[in-house]
Amino acid sequence: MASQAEQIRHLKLAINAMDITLPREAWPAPHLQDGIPKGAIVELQGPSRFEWFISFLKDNPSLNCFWAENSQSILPTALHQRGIDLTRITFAVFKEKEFSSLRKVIQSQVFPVVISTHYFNEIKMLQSFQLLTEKSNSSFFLAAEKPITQNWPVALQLEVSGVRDQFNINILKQRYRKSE
Amino acid sequence: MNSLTEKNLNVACLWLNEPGPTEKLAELCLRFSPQIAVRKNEAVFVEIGKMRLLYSPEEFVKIFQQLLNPWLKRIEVSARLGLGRDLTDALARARHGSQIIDSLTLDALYDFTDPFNNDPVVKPYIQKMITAFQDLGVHKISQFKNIPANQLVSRFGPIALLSRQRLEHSVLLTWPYWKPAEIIREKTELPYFEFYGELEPVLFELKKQLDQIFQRLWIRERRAQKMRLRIFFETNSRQLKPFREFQFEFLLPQAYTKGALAIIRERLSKDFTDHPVTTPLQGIETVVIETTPGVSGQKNFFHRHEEVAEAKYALLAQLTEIHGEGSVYHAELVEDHRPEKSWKKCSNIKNPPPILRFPIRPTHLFSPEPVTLKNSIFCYQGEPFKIIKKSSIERINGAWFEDPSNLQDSYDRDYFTLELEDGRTLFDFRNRKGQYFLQGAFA
Repeated sequence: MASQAEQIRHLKLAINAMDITLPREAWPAPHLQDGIPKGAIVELQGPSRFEWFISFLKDNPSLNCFWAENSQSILPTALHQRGIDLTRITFAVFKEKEFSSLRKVIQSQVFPVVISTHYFNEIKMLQSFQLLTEKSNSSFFLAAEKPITQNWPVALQLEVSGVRDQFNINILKQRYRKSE
Repeated sequence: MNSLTEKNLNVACLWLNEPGPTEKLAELCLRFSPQIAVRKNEAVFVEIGKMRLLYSPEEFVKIFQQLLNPWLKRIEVSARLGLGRDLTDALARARHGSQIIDSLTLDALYDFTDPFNNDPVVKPYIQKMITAFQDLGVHKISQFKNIPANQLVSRFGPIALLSRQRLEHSVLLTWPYWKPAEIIREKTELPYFEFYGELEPVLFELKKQLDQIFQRLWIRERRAQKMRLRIFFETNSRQLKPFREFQFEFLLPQAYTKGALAIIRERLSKDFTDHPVTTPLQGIETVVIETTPGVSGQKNFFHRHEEVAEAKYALLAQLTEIHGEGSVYHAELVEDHRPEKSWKKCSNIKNPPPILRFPIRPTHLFSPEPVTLKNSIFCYQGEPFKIIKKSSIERINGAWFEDPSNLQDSYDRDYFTLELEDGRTLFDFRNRKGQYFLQGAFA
């Protein structure tokens, strides 16, 4: 049994290592040719990840966003100054039960874009998010301080640096291509 | 109480000396007559003219007092009963406690002209009229009655004439329609010993109840704003209270079971976990306490805006149940230069955003933390960082009215941004004492 489990783990790692790109619908995103995939998890890293995310929201004015944090730190005034209509954004502070709460948010299909600063590294949790985002066709951004290590359910991994409007984007991982 | 031997006593008025629950009182009065009127929180009127074959005025007063006095005593409200020829007459007698209308001061004209106190137009006219009459030496109703009617009209217009006609009982006053508030309630009694402490069967029963309730609301074009849920238990030495009560006030009025049940489920699951149920469940009762207008038409074929809005608010209410009040919110901007006070939490943005007259703010804001700044080195928690660029200063001060005793430190800041060697841009300020603080970051 143990060897079978080991074998499955190896297979999963092998799949992860393979350069499989699935066609997906995508939202247009600044400095990103293939855009942001719908129905997928996107991991954001780097010192300018939120600035870039805000420009992404600005480029897609029809998207309503759910912004979850573990402690309140995002400044709504800054979002407004960067051209975001605050009626589109629903903020939340989840100090506990963040997994079940975010599941509810994605499952509701009310928000096409969900961003969370919580750190999830358990593969089952990420897998669950992946299934839910796929079902609801929403994009789920993970923007925790630390990078996710067990990240095979993540479809796109970006490292964003640079200043506003002049971002340097390093694509660490991309498991999709923009559908025609 | 006026003389009960008077003829034509058609209306009884109960005047509450302090604001009270007139709706409840009116419901109690339904046993005397179906014709009831209510002056909100102040008075209840009962038509007694048609019940003479059943009760004489003396009997009515006796029964009325027997019925209502204990109730009024319980809610600690004192009241006065007045019987009169018509509604205004009864009101004036009850309110002013006098049997002779002619002896009342001109203030009684308010009662005759606007007995239900719901006409904002009439009040200033009467006030003006009373002041003018007082200047002319007319203080009592008897004196007012002696003024020729044609003079009243030419000087004070139709409202003065109306007052006069009401005083002389020459015009009929239409009673506004009143009916007791409709209560939407569903109660299920559970079979003995069938349910113990599990939540699922409760939710199962509750769904049936909510389906019934929302159908009844839908047909009345209403939505549920507030609900009360009671779960009844068998009592024993450990379970002394016979029921648990839950009040729900929805962020957005609910029209469907799905949204409401999700909110209720959150509250119940938390309660059942924190306080396990140890005795058999006996019943469930759901009551709609408050409703708001809704639409009972067909679904809109062209968009799903309403459904999406309802699903959204049901979700937000559910999350608020889990994480507490204020944990899920929208942000409304406020005209304040202090970054931390430049916005406030709200459940719905009502006002358009103000024009912001300050430089671009950082994406993240923290509570200010002390830092040190020397030459081109920024030191945070003992760790040094090299500064590449420092911005110009934005000086803000003010709000002396908020806390004059603590003005020195509270709001006198020089803001600037620092670009560090590692690529980060920080948002700092210096206070009047020359201390530096880190307050935000451009991330």
